[in-house]
Amino acid sequence: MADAKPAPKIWVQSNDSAIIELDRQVAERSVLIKNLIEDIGDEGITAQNPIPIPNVNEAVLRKVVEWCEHHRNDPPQTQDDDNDARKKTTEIEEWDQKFMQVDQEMLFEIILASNYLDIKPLLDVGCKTVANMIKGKSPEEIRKTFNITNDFTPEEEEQIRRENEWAEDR
Amino acid sequence: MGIFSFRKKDKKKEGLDSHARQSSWSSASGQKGHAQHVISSLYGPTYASAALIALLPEGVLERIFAFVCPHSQDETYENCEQSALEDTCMLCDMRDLAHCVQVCKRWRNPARNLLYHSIRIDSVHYCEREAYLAEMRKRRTRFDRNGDPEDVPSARLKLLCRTLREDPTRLGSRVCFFKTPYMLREGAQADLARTIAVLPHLFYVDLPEGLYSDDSAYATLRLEVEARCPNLQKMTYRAGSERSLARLSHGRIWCNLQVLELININMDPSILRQVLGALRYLRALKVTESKTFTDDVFAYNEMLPPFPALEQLVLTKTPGITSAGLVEYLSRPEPRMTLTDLSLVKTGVEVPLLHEVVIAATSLKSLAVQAKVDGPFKSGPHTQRLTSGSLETLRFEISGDSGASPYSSSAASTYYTYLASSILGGGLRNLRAVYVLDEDFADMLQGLPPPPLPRAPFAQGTGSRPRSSGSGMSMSTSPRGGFLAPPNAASPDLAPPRRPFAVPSAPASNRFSSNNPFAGTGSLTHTLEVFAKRDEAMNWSFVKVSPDAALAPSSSRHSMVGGARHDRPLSTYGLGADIAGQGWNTPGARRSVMVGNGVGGFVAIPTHEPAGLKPPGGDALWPRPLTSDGEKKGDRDIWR
Repeated sequence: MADAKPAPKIWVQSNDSAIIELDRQVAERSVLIKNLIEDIGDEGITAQNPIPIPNVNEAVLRKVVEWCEHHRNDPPQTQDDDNDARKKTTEIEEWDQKFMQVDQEMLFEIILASNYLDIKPLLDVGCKTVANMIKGKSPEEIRKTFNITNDFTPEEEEQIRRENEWAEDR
Repeated sequence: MGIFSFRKKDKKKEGLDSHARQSSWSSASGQKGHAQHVISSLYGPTYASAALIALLPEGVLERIFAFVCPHSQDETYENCEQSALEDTCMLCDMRDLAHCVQVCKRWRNPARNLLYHSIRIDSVHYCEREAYLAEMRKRRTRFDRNGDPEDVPSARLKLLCRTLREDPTRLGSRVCFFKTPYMLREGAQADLARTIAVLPHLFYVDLPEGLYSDDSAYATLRLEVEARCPNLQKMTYRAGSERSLARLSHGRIWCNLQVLELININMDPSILRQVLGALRYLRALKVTESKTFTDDVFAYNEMLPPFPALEQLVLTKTPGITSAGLVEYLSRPEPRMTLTDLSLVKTGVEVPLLHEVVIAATSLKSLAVQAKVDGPFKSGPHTQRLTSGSLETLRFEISGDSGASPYSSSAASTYYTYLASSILGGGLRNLRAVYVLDEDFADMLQGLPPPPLPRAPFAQGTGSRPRSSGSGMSMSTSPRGGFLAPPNAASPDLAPPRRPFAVPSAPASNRFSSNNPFAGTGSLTHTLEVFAKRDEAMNWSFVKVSPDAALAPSSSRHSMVGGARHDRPLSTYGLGADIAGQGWNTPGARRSVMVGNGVGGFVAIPTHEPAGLKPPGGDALWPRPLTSDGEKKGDRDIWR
């Protein structure tokens, strides 16, 4: 039986030099790593020679790996799914909701990491979370929520307000 | 004093405004996704998080905004009403996206990309905010000179027109889809024309009905659209617009059309060929009610451009089209490789000759046949089983013409016997879903009694046929069996293999044994979904049934209303409903899942879970009727 064999392992290294061991199947949730393994083969990847992930620190990488572990058996996304996902609403699975109960810093770190590692479903969960934080807010409230500086001049602001008038509630 | 009182009023208004926003938001927070919001907003922003949000690339920002306003991704060629999303308030989403444009310079461009890609104007909010806004409007109009309430959608269109005309190069050129509600597009013609004038890259725009039939009142608008929107991808022509249609053949107007719909158009086949020949990118064609759309349209002619290779061809009430014409069309390699969806509703194609078309269309994935018959299936010397290696979905809706003959309903059942023999014969290797107007079709596939006459090609249901659970119908002996003795014995592939040991009346326990006459005729091991309903169910099939688990009977014969929630295959060309049919989400429709029993027959999978409906092997892979996902869109015909 094939099950008797231990699952093949992969090692990744965060930008703060932490090495994390994970199953190859889990690592392949990341299209970046999947393509990389396909290109160089997994023989070259050992605990001594891990895949460097230069943009992601250990805490974030562990969080991303946690998500991948939980979703290890999800069917791989096709291009069509990707397009369909956008048509859907911002509903988030219960487990993912809990997973995303993190501070804003971690939330954006996860989004950036999943974008870099090309994990579309995780990126979507992150984007949906941010979208839900935006919904129903005025521009000023959105700025306050994310601590964004208003870099428009009053004239520009007035111009955009006028430009957007058609979309405002009437 | 006056100033103060005004300010006070403004403040009050603002307070009310934010209150309404809050209340609409808190109602939304009942949804799963929004619960997350409450928790995340507990964590305030930090300097680090602000620095990180500034790092988000434009692509990620666009992704976020796409979730803020899902309908900004709508790229269907369906009108405003039919492309509406049901589980969200589109005006709220659009307003939120517009707010994102105003947040900061970095967000402005990606948010604008989305806001102006696919614009739709809705009449009302589909949330409780509408009640609050209606109240506000009353107050405003109290001071209005005429006392007329403002027409919100047309005011919105006027403002949009102003915005787009003020910055046509940056905003107007981004608009690819522009959808307006029926009352607005019929009423505000001038504003619509002014807006369209600055949208050179439009793919799809909602236009008033009169324009499609060349109503003289819409001549100016038509000229405007023809001149300003050269990239339109879908257009409809109704009776009376033959001259406009003929002008397409010059190749100067809308030569990039991908989807063409002709309703009640009667024009010379050769002119039509010129028109179609000029449309190089045509992918889908729907012809409804045309007496002149005949086999001549497909005929080879050196003087005319060939009939274009289409992916989807939907023919409704075109009696001049026969199987010979379609076979001729499919004899060219290009159409043969391209055509994937074919719908023949009340055409001149006769079911006994349908196999010719199916064999010729080597890439066909979905086939719909709808016909009324007044006599039993007539097999001839050339009659063969339906054979196709590519066909995945088959809608076979044959019903008896009740006015023609008192036996017509039993006549229809002979067609289903033919279909059952085709499926059991193993010719339809990839067939995964079949839709029939015969509730006992599934039983026919698993009943498998031996035929009374070994010579009869399609006979299988007889009086000795074991009753399957719950079928409870009294099968008449004569129409299903016996009468189909081939007039010509030289059709060996039709006759089921002779089984010397077959007992004429097999006991029920032996129904899946090797005694069955079709055993060994094909190795059918795949799963087949059978959707069945009685003809009478058609009458109330437009009733929209919400997917409530309580509605789904818990027996193995459950209705389709509790269908598994997954995305149905959406047609890019807006022909989905024609391909997948409508009215299949009624409690009158029955769904059975069958698997091959290893010896060539089928076994029904008992379904105990009422709502799950997950057959083994990945339900999502199978084509399902559009309407089975009634939760999402219901059973509307996209072509109206």
